[in-house]
Order: sequence, then C-alpha cells, then structure tokens
Amino acid sequence: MKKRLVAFMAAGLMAATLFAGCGAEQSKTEAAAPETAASSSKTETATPEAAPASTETKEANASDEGTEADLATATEGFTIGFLDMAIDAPPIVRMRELIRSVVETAGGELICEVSEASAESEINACEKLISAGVSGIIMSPSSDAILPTIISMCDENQVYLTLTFREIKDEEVKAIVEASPYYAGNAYEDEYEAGYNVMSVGFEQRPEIKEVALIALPVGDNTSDARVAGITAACEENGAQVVAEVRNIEQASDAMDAVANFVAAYPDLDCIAVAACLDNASITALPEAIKATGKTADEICIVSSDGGADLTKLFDYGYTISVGGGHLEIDRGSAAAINVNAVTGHKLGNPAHISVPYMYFTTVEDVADYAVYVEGDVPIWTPEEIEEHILIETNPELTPDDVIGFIENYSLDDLIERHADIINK
Amino acid sequence: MQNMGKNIFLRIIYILVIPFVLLTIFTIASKGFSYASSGLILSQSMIPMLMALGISFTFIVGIFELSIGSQVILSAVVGGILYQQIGVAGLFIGAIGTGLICGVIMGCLYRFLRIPTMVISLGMLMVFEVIAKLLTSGVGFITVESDVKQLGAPPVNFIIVGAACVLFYFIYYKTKFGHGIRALGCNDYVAVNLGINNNRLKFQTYVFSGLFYGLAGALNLCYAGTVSAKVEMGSLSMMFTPIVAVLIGLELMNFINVFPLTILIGAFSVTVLSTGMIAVGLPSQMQDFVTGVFMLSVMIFSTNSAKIAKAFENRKLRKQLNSSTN
Repeated sequence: MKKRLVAFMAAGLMAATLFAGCGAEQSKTEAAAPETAASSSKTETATPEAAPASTETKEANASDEGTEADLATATEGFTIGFLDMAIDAPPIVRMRELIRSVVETAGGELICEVSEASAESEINACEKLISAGVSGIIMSPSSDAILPTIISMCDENQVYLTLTFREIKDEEVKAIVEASPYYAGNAYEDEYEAGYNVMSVGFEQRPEIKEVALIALPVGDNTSDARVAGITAACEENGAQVVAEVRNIEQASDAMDAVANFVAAYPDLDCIAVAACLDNASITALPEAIKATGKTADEICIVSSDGGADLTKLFDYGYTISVGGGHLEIDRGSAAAINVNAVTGHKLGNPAHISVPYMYFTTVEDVADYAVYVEGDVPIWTPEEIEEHILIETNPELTPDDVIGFIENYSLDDLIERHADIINK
Repeated sequence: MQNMGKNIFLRIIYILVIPFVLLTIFTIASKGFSYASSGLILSQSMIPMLMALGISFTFIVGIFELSIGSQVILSAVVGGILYQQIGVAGLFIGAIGTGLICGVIMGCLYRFLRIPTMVISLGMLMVFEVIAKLLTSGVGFITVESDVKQLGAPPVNFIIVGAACVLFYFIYYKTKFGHGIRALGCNDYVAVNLGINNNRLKFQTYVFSGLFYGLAGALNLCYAGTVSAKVEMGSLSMMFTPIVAVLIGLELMNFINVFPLTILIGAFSVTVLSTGMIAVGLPSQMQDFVTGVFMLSVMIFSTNSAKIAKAFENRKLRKQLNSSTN
C-alpha cells in the first residue's frame, strides 16, 4: 500500500512538471510573435526557402513562420546564453567579459552555463539555456555531429545560434545548419593557416630544423587536427619531419615526461611543436621541461599555436621562437557581435562567417605590447567602440560589412592606435 | 642451499621478464631508445609507483576506488598553497595531511553510512575535484617555485619513494592491519568469521591509501612545478598506470613475495611501454590501441593465471606419464 502511494505521488509529480514545462513553452512562443511583427522590415536575411530544409522541424518552422518577417528579434530585455568553460584563467575571464560587454551595451543580459567539451554536456547546457528563455546562444561545439540537434532545438525555440572558435567541416552538417534561419553565423580562425604560419615563422628563425616532435589533442578535435595538418605541411615544405607525437597531456607532469622522452629517444630533435593541449598550464611548463633535460636554446626550440596560461613565461630561457595567439578575445567578441546583431534584428550575413586574424610573436618584446593592450585593464573593445562600430542597433548607419571590416582589421597595431591615448592617460 | 640460491636467482629472472622484453623490443625498434633509457624511465615511474602503493591496499580488500587521481590532485593543490605560506615543509605536510583527511572522510562514509565503495569513490571523485578547482581560485592550476623541483628529480625522488616502499613493506607484512587485509583478500567470509573486523580494516585501508596518494601529490608538484585541477572526472586518466602496475605486481607475487618490488616492476613496465611507443614514433591512436591490448593481456593473464598454470601442470604430467609408459 505504502509503495503504491509513493509510486502514485511520483507519477503525479512528474505529470505536474510536464504540464508546467509545456505552459512555459507556450508563453515563450506567444511572447516572441509581437516582437517578430514589429521588426519585419529588418529581417531580410535567411529564409527557410533559401536552402534545402532537411529536417521536419525546419519544414514545420517554415510553414508556421511563413515569411522572413516572422524571425524572432528583440530590442531590449533579451538574454544571450554562453556555453562557458569551468575555469577562471585570465584569458577565459577576458573572453567572457567581452561577450558580456557586447550583450549589455545592446541592452541585454548574459547567462553563462558551464559545459565540458562533450556532446552530452553541450546539449544539456543548450537545453538549460533555452529553458531559461535566452534569445541567442554562443558556443564552441566539441564536434560537428551535435550541431543538427542543437540547431533543431534553436529552430523550435526561435533562438539564434552562433559558433565561436569553430568552422563546420562536415558538409552535410553544414548544409543542415546553414539552412536554418536561426543560425546567425560563426567566428573562426583558419586553423590550418595558423599551424602553417606559426611553423613557417619558426623555420624563418631556424632554417636548420629537421626533426620535430608534436604535442596535440587526440585525433578528432577539428582545431587540433587542422593545426597539425598546417604544421606538417610547413615541415614538409622545409625538409623537416614530425618524428614523434604525444596527444594526452593533461598535467604539467605529463608534459615533463613527454619532453624527456622526446629528447631521450631523438637526441637530434630540433623542435617541439605544440598544435593544442588539453591543459594550458602544461604548455607554459615546456621551457622548464626542456631545461631539465640539459638542452640549450640553441639545440632545441619551441613553436606553439597556443599561448598557454602565460604567454610571457613561455619565452623563458629563450627556447620559444614562434607563438601564434592573440585571437581568443577577438573571436569571442566577433561571435557576440554576430549573435547580438541577429537577436536585435540586424543579421550580419546569411549566415555571417568572420575569419579572425592570429597574431604571431617571436620575441618577448612582441609579447610586452600584447600584455599591455590585450591582457591589460582596457578591453580590446570599449563600450563606446561597441556602440559605434559593432552594434547596428545603436548605430543605424553601420552596415554588416562595416562591422565585419572593423573586426577583421583587428591587430596589435590597430589596438595601439585605438587605445594608446586611453592607456597612456 | 645452492638450490635455494638458484631458485631465488630464477625467480628474479622471472619477475624481470616483462620489463626486459619490452625494453628489448623498443631498443631494437627505435634508434634513440636503449637500455640506457632505464634510468629516465625509472624516474618517471616514481609517481605512478606511489599511487600504486596506495591502490594496492584497496585492491587486496576488494574496494572499488576511482578517486585516486582527484585525491592526488587535491593533495598537490593544498600542498602548493601551504608551500606558498610556509615553504617546503608546508608542501609535504599539506599534501600528506590532505591525503590522510581524504582517506578518513571516505573511510567514515563507508564505515558509518554503509555506502557501497563504488558510490563513495564516484561521489568523492567529483567532490575532491571541485574542491581542488575552488582552491586554485578558479585559475585552474597551482604553481611552485623552480627551486623545489630538485625534490621531484633523481636522486631525491628515488629516496622518497624508497622510504615509502619501506613503509609500505612494514605496514603490509609486519602489522596487524597488513595481516588482516591479506586475510580478507584471501577469503573475506572466513576472515570475518574468524573475528576480523571487516569495517574497521576497510576504514584503515582508506586512510593508509590516502597517505600514499598525498605523498604522490607532493612529488607530482615538485616534479612538474605545476598541477592542474580537473573537473568532470578529468582526473580518472591518472588511474591507468598505477592500476596496471598493481595488477602486474599481484601476478609477480607468485614468484617473489615482496609486494613493493613487484609493484615497482609493474610501474616500470607500463612506463617502458608508454615511453617506447613515443620513441618508435607510433601515432597516438596506435599508442592507445597498444596500451589497451597490453592492459587486456595483463587482465586476461591475471584472471586466468590459475587455469594457465593448471594447463601447464597437466601438460607436464602427461609428458611424465607418456615417458614412464614408454
């Protein structure tokens, strides 16, 4: 009898939760409709007819929404969801705060949901954000495979999706995602070019490099794989080869072991190339690891596509000759610009694709300016610059090309030009 | 006497077969790898060795333990924080103390709340990870000065681990606790009926294991200078080498009953494997494949060693019978 009572109560509780959820879904849809009608003149971008609708959800949306005028927009009081990382290292904080600055300058609010780099975690995080009523989501998916599921959820709930640090490589997935009117676009780095350029800069500094050991992420990570391809191509062009690799560095002690093993197994090793690493602190530990082997900076060098936890420390002892970086903040900012402009009814493209430039550092002096202008107290975009150059809602004279042009013009020189007066005050 | 000496010599040969075969394979296959790399490999085996000493207690009594890595990381983080306050002494006191406290917490959860060991290990794995992350003030890692690094390098690391092995030997072979866990490991039903207090022994197992995890955390921080806090069960990967080391150690105990020595050979063997694969330039996916096959082989042999021994014995008997009838 007692068991039956408990079972009955549990069933009733679940049913009540279900009805409550349905009620929230209904009210959200009804709230979106008046905003959609008010901004009909602005929504001239993606339409369900522009690309083949390959899912039932999209076909349902097309028939339910009718024309491009029915795309959800918001002018104030909106929220943007961001799939964040569970760490508060300074670069991560800067990225998060830049997104927040863009969102809040537009009159919105940012909700951060911590997510690990796994399909299940990311889908759960998106579900939570959508349940929280966001109008846009900014995320870096761990793989292309989850994107059809995520864009389907976004379509059903009229939430704009923007990818950051990612380019969709799978053509089938790309067709599905880009067919959605709620895919605002992506900010990405050409990771192949980044790997190729950082290694090529290394060869310019040290033409005698012949044997290279590689540190990367497990095969399957798009970013790492593309950088590895670029590094390998640069090696082949310069008559060098990748002789060994390690892809499971999770602690600095793993980095110490890897470097010791590389040096022991390949006494003529010239270079350790880092495509990507699971642990940022491990990259910063590389100079110490090489020093512990007794090798000098003339015998072995470090080339890295990732600045690690501390870019300045990476140049300790003179081992590092080429580091690519400086793209973190601008990438997140670009994604925020794409997403917020879409939410406020000013899509930057159909969808927008912004290729974010890398910076390349070869000496610790290069890093000094970076430390002041990027890692310092003044963000790469001030709220005034966001109003003037990023948000079409706050500066109606802007066109999408103007916004993208401002973003793509980003460099250390551009930053110094814009902020030298602010910083030197 | 001569036979006994020859017997011991043969036993030593048997227990060194696995690392010797692995060393030979990689020496032939790689130009840079040789028997001379043994010193470096031995040094790299020290941290997994300490973790294996801790795990071995839990293995013997049948405790399911997944939180090893998180305890090591948490111990290292606390050690690092105390190092910044009071120096090297703080590093070791903090790390070992944290390991002991973690062991006490887990032991209490098991003994007084009767929670199954698998549930305890999974739950506390996540709790310890989050605590370590919070203690790093969200940055995600803790760093110590490079002058401490000599403690994690030879010969100091060999001395520290050597002392830990002596301690382990004493605890395992010369204390009531050690006798008790061996009895439980042999046949827990009989042991309990003979009056051994199962719950108290398992509580003590958690505490002693925590001691070695704490020491492993201290050595890890000294060696690398930095330890990163992991979340979402990211510390699970640290378990692999120590667990395989213990499995190999348990099998080698059939030849020589000195557990710390056989664990050392196990840890050394696994480290030879991972180092050798890098030396031959094996792609990382193949490295994972080979590592998985090696671990399966060890598990298969470990689980079926009695059957294999019986098969060999039967074969020997058949040969003897055949020769006597002829």
